[in-house]
Amino acid sequence: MKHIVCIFICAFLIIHNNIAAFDYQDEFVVQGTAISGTDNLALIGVNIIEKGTSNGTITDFEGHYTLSVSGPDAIIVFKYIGYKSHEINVNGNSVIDVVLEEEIEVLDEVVVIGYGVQKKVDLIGAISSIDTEELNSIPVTNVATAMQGRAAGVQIIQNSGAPGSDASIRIRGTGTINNSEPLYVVDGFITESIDLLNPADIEDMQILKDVSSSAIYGARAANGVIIITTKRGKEGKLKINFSSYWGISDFWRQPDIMDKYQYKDLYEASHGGLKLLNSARDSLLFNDYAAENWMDQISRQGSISKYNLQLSGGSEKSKYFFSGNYSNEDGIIQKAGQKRASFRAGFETELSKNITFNFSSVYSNNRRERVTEGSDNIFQYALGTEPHLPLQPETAFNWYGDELVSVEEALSWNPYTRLWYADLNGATNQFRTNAELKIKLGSSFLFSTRGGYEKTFRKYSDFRKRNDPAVYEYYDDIQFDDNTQSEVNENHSKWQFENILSYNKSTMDHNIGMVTAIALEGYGHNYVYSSKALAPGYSEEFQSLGAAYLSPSTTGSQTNWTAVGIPFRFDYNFRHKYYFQFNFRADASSIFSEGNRWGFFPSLSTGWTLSQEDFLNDIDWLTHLKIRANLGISGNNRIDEFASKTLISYYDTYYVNGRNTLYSPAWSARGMGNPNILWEKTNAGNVGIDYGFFNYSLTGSIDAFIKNTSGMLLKLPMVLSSGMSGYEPWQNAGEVSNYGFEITLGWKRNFGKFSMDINANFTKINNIVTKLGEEGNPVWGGYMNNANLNSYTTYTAVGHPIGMFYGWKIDRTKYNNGIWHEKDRETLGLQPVPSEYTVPGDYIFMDLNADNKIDENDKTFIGNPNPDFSYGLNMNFSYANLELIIFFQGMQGNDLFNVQRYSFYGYHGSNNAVQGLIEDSYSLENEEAPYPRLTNAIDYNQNYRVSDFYVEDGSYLRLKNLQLGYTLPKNVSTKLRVENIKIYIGAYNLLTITNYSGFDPEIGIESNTFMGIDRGAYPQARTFMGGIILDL
Amino acid sequence: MKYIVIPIILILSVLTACEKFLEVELKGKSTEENFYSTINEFQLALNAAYAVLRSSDFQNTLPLIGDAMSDDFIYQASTYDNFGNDGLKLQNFNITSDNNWVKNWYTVNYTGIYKANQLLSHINDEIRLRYIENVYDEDLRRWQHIYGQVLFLRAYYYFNLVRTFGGVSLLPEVQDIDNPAIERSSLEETYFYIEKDLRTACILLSEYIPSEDYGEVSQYSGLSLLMKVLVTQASQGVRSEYWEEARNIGSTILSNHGDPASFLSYNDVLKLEKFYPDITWDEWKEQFKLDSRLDEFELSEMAKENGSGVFQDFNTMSSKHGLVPWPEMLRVYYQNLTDNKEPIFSVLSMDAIGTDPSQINLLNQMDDLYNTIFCPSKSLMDLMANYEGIDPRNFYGCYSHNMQPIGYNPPEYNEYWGGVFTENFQRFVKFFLIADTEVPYGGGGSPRNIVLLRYSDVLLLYAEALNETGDRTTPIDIINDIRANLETSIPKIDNIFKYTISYGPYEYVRDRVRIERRKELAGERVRYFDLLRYGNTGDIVTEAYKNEVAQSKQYISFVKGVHELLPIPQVEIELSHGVISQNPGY
Repeated sequence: MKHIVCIFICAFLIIHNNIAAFDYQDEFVVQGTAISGTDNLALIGVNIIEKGTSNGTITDFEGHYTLSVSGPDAIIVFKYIGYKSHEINVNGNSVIDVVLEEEIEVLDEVVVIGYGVQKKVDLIGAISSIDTEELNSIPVTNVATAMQGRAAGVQIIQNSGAPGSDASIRIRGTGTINNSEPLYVVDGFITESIDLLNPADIEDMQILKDVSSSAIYGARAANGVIIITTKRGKEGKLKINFSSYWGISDFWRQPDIMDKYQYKDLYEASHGGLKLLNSARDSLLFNDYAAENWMDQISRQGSISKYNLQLSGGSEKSKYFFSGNYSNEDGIIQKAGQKRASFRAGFETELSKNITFNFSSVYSNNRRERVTEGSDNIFQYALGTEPHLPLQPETAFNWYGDELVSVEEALSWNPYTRLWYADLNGATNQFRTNAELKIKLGSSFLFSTRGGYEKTFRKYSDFRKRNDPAVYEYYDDIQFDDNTQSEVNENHSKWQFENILSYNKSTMDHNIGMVTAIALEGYGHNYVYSSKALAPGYSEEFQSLGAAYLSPSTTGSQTNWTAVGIPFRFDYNFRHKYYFQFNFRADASSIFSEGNRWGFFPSLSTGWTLSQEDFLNDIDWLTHLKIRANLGISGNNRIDEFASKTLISYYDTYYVNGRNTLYSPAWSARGMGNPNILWEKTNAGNVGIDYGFFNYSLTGSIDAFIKNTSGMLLKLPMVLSSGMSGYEPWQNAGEVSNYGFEITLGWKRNFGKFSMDINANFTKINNIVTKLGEEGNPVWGGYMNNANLNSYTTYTAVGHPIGMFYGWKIDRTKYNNGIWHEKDRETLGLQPVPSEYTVPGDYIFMDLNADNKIDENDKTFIGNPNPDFSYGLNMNFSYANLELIIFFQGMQGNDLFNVQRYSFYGYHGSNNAVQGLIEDSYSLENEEAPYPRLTNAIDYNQNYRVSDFYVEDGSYLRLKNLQLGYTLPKNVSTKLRVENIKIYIGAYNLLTITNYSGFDPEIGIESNTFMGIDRGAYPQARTFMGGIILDL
Repeated sequence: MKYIVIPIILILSVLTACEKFLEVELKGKSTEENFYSTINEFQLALNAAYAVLRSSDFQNTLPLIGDAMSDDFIYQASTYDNFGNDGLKLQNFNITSDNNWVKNWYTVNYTGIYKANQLLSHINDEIRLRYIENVYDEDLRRWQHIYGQVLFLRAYYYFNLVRTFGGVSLLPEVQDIDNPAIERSSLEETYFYIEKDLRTACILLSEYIPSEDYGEVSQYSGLSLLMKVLVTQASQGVRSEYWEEARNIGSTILSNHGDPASFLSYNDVLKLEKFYPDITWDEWKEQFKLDSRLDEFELSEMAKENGSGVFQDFNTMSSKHGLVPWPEMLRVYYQNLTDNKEPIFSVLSMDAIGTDPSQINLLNQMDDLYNTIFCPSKSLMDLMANYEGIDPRNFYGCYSHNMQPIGYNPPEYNEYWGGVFTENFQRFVKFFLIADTEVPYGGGGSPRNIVLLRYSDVLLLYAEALNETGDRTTPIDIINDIRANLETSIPKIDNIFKYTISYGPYEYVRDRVRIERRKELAGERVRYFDLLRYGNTGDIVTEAYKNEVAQSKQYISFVKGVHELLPIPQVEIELSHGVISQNPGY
């Protein structure tokens, strides 16, 4: 791009200067060639001026120039856009060839940090900057998701592929089993989530990863901080930017499940022939209608579209900015969708020489329709339901016109009706406004006072069309008795008021910066749930609490807290060579008891720019090299707001006295609050190197870090005689350690019209729980409630990562495929354990404690949901007006617990399975098959209990984004009366390489002890899209 | 510099306001600090102490211990048992310290104690008391009644524990979260604690139950439970103060059989010198705000000296309780509850709650429990139909609930049921269940179908105490009274059974009382505790199951000196770091 602009400018200058040249007489002529230091190619149109005069020329198409100067002592200046300007004393030389060094913006780039800004070159903390330009052109509406894979040390997991779903962000590992989401700061305002933020409104995004940069946010910084600055108005005439994209999406793959005829074989194989037709349901196997694929019935081609308009401009003193956007996304599952709109207006003005005022306000509206996910998800039904069941009620009659099964039954089996059975809607309205007054006090001090207020209204409505899954969507014979409308109305309000004083002073050698502030915050949350049954119909007008009339039920809660923070930072550097920084924050929050409110979070950082030292000056290829190190403490106060208090609340109802036929509520505390609890504390250290080689062609950084969380909040078991069993108080009793390293590498080169910019990042994090109370009481998680799988699946224990999969191990060492073969008894002399229940074709589980029985004590760790490493690779290539973006992202070595295998690789009487299961299942004819025997009888051996049967390798490499853009040539755009037009086409999630057998290897996090468990997650869609960006 | 002054002043002023700023008033939540401020809130807290009795942990475990561990009932292992075979192991005395039912029983009683302690630690708060006193005198009386009830409940939970585990940890009313484990007290200390609570409760509780408060425990309940606690500490055949006092309490509250000379005054029950040795009468009255009732005390003392006085108005009190005809007793539900004199301490079955009539299914849980899991033992069947003839109570205690729920088809219409004593068919149900259809619609009403203490029980305890203190005739009269009541309410099945029995010597009377208790109270979760009192649980249970046909009860492994007590749950020993010690033999 840069080149294109240059050529235009040069062309202009050539003409201009050629005309001007006639005015001068030769006195001393200098000539030579200008070439680029990057690629040694001639530079066309380099501006050459004799210093102190208007005398000048430019280089021609071969890079040659000829300039007459006033004398042999003249100084000539070479200027070229994108390159460092170069001054040369002529000294009587008549031939001066010059090599111009490319100027890398990196150096002057300013980075927003907590309570201030800093030049990127002066940073001594581990901060990842996200290139926000690209985020706007990929077909995801959620900022967090768009950031995935773009920063080292930052793991972003989309919790679901459903439109409008959120993402979990883990910065440098999972620091606690409790809430470990980072802190978001948008334009200085601390906010709960950035789900509603329009990616196009983001000017700048920084992820503060280490304690040196995040400690200024004190008690909330332990999980990292994401600082976002939104776009502002810029001086100049009105600029209008319009961008839009449209896309269609589909499944990138679907499991191959059996069709009706294959299922008939499965039924036969499992029932010992078709003789046993247990029910009308089974007899449908003979029914003659066309077989249906349930997935086809509930899925559709998804679509996404987004429109974004920005206006900005202003005078030297006052600037304005306005943006509006609308997006509409229809998921690949019917009903799933999201519509979103937001408007933002900002205004900035200089009230006097020293005082500026700015104001911005944003309103977002989000409407979402969900499908059931989690334990009751639609995919489980669509994939697991027998394929021979009728889709439409009418098909239940098709067999000689008799009613084979009741309509109700037919519908209750039907995933399609199940999808339509629940209308799950959510709407969020958010309003946020910020204002700031900046006062310059003398030359070094700046005082700013700023305030913000955010109000979020959320409403979820859930209309269930009967208490059982049968739905009478099309049927006249409506039984509406059980239609239930339930609603959640929630509102959050958050305000913040800060007074910030900063000081900056620079001399030749010393650069000092200081900042301190008082930050006051308040938060309130109000929640109301109500439900009512018996709405007399299904259509939308009945989906209200007013329409329903029986069993009113309602509940509510309120939360509120206030917090005070006093941040302080002192930074100093000597000639940008030796850096020292001290951060400190005192934080107090009302959620802690009176004596425990204040916390102090110091951090100390140093840096040394080696490349500034004389002894490294001679090394040509070394442009920049900095070593940095820091240590500090930060906290996590995202805890139960009531943990320090003994709450007395409704406990039960007791008909204690039959008083006037009303029952009496019973109120009590279920357990005691712990007034001694504190925030979770993280001690962290980081050492890193920033490097830039070959004049910043090759840049990057390497960081190694350790983060030790102590005082992790746990509910430790208490003696039963305390009477609080199950409601134990929270205690600061756990410790977690995360350590690892992250590498980023960027390579930038221009070869004439061709340029490339490649950025790669790599993250390796080890997570280990080092303490869980004095006793090391493990924490169970990932509870499943399937038929045979009704137990916990994860186990967090000392010495292991958080949320490890835990269960029995199939004994594949001694037994082929882990299956008990009749011949094993004779040939190997092996006895299965437990022998009384196990028959040939059953799994043998390992008797780890060798007590000759399989029980709870034989469970062990069977998988790790945390990856060995994760990585991202973003490549931008451009040639002339063409631009190609290729972005890969992946994880390696993480395990997934695939609950779907329960029905895919086993038969339990009435479920569909994957194709080929019959051939892959043990039978007398096929003893070497990998899966256990198929049977309809009771599984006494519990073949499908929690075991490594479910654990699969979840590694993947995904081509997240592939995009080809074309910027129309200037002459074309000028004709169209626009400044700039870019059109692009792209594919999102085009290619996925994985061994995982489920729908999608990207599985969301339900909680930190519920990671990587696939119960039938809404998969990520593959989207093909096209877009346009217009600058007017 | 002047520019800097302004922000500094601003910052300082904000800082000073900080602490105030951080005091956030909790909205919509009650905490210890702001709760317990009105008499109504005391009532809410009291309800919580009662509500533990409604929990499934309590109501499922009690029959397992009270019935299945005795010679009366057989617990069939089934999928119902959430804890694998733990129920089976319990009834066969194959008990280990990791038995989950034992843990449940231990935990649920302590949960009750914790609920009671929550209220007790605040019931005397001066600020709140001032409010209560200043408003109404009536509230003060109600405050005392609540105080009495919560002490009663705490005593009851500890009584459950001491009977099954021996001396246990006595919790402070305010627990220390950092050191929650309390060393176990001795048996004597534990009983002392229970008695002190109960004796205090007996004074504080209201004498009678106002009709709208029916179901709360009364002074009558307090005295009855005190009697049971005393009898439990006594040994049969050994004369002791326990028997004397139990007899005196019986005489006081069971007017038909009482000897006016042994009637009790307030202080006879309270025993200030023993239970409150450090304070005087006046101080005691001050503590419990009894100033307005000063007269009652003096009157009761004076009346005792006259040989005519007792607990005031005891006639009114005792007129509230008495024997009722069997069908009536079994049909304990809201509409005629106030007329039912049998229950002295009863609670609602755990399922009867909710506003949706379909959710009110009292039978659900108990149904499962008793239909598929418990059945009467051969030993009990033999007793019910022995040389004495077929006891008519058989049909009320032992019938197939599965076949015909009570309320639709009272057994008297199906006499032939009495003959069906097959092992697998005949189930035992005596939970005073009511039919779904009789539950008042809309969540109102208060069926109290789990009776924890009833009149016949107290009456027979009294008979026992009389026999132990030398009275051979009154106990037999009492049994005959019970049987006379039976005669009027259930027709005989055969001609062998006689309603009246004759007098005899000590052993004869003792055995007659034992038999009568077993027959009358079969399935009411008291048999195991009776066996513990008789002192030869192991022999009786082992003997009873020699001829048992039910497989699940054939391997009784009772070890004398060990299995009289249940083990303290192993997890408790571990969590307490050994502060809490295990019972011998486990």
